[in-house]
Amino acid sequence: MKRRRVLSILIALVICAGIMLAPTPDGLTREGQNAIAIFGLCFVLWVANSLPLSVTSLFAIVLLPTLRVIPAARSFALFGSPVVFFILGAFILAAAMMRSGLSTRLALAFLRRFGGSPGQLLAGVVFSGGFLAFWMPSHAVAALLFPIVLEIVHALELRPNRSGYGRALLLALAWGAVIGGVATFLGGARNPLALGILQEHYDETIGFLQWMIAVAPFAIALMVLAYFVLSRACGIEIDDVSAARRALDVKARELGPLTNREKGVAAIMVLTIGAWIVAGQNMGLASISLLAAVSLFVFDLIDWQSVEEYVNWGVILMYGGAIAIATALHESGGAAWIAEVAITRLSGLPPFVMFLVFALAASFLTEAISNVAAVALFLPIAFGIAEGSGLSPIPVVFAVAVPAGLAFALPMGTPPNAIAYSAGYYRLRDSVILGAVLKLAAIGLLALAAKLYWPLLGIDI
Amino acid sequence: MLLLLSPARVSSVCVDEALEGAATSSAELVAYFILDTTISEELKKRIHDMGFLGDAPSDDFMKAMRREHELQGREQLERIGALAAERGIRFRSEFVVGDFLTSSLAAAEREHPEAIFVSRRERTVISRLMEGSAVRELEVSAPCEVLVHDEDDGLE
Repeated sequence: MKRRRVLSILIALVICAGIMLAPTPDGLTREGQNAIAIFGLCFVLWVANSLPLSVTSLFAIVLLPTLRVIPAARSFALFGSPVVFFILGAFILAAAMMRSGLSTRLALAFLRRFGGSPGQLLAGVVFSGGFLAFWMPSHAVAALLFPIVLEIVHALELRPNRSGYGRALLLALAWGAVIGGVATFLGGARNPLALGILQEHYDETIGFLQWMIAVAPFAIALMVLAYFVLSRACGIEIDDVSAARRALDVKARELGPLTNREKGVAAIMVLTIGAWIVAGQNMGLASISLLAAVSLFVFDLIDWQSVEEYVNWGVILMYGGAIAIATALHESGGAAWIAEVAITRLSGLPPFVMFLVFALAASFLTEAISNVAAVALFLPIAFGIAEGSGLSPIPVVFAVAVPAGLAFALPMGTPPNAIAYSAGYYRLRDSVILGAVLKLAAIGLLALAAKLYWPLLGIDI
Repeated sequence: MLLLLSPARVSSVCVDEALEGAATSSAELVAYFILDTTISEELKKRIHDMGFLGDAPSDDFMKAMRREHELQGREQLERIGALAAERGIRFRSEFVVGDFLTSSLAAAEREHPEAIFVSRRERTVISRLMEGSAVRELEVSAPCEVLVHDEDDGLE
């Protein structure tokens, strides 16, 4: 592990230095060349995961002014983008949901509603994960569902790596959370990050409700597909899930009645979502997010120690740095130059095909690196390519951000996959093969949505 | 004969080979289940650093995962014990928490086996290249023959 870490850091530094020291190609500025060098360094470090993601971002924020790509004031100002504060507020809201137990209660309520048969229970796991990930980070959903799904497999006496149904349930845990996470700005910070990059590049925006209306139906349809893939491919070898129902009932009774704290958190969540929908464009998503976070403290629904325990502050560094890198690539002309090199290979492709190329590229890139890194690195380049091809930026955001959130195949592609895989109920080959099937199905479904549904919403390709 | 198991090394083929080896040599079979803390710590680091999950939910998840691995480990040892009893093989088991390589070498030092049976866990080629292999290091450092069953899919 140490060897890999040192090697990957060295490779990243060599790539950065190599790009910087190379003769500057025609059409590329010195700033753009250095931006590409930093981009290369971040790419290697994020793929290899040799430094925490947030530390790589911090490195980039410092390198940008040091290598004279953008001034220091600009680099650090981007670190304070409204998107970063929206994400922070959303994470505090999620912390309140987890700390109060409201998220566990919602998960159990959903599962108990679906527990009539093995097929229903499997669907329940997919949809409870998906539904929760509409409103809180998908990795948090996977972590909270993990002990609940394990209770189910124990109650049904399913054996690791032997039971098809056990395999299906654990994959369902991961996939439900992953799919739900693309539907709104709350399920994964890659979506607001994409929004932030769009705002910096084009001064355009996508509203909370606009995103949800465009993507949630796709996500729901994909959850249905995921259920069918799992139930057919893994097989359901048991007939009766009443033991699982009883286990879920016990867990629900252990929670006790709904507390005032849970009611308060639920109320603030509902009001906040309403405010994002109704007032998001005027007030700004970040302001509403932070007001909601402050409200939690005003009404004594969370304490600061809980926020410290439940929120990972590295998220501020990560997303601030990601926006800084993406913006620097754009403003220095680095992204445009890469796009021009790429365009010579992709020129002549119709906009819809270009859309599919972006979606496929983001979809496979995200298996190798974190979702947010995939968006931060690929979206600026996709914008540059799209400019030359007549594809407008808003569909480009969906083409990159949505597939970048759909890592199904590799356990290390996204935390929900790693969480589910760690239980030992399925093998790597199960994840790779079935994940690849679902991934291709997802791209197909996205293409259908883009062709048939989005034009009705005014999103034209 | 020493059989080494861990949450990620669960091959039934390897268990059968170990039982066969013990039966053939009329030797005692000692099975160690090593609750490999490196894997759980790496995973916690990953969901914390990559997924930005806070400390409290990351710790809760890790406890749930370790509980599950412990349960699976003890059930496996019981199952192997039952199989050994069916075949009239003397059997003993140990449950250990720690780094897989360090615990494996310590077990070999303590038990002085004729041979060690272990499976190489399923990983991608890139992961094996980048992160090395505890089983390969065991093959190099163990005081006796190490018989490795490869669970690897040969995924590229």
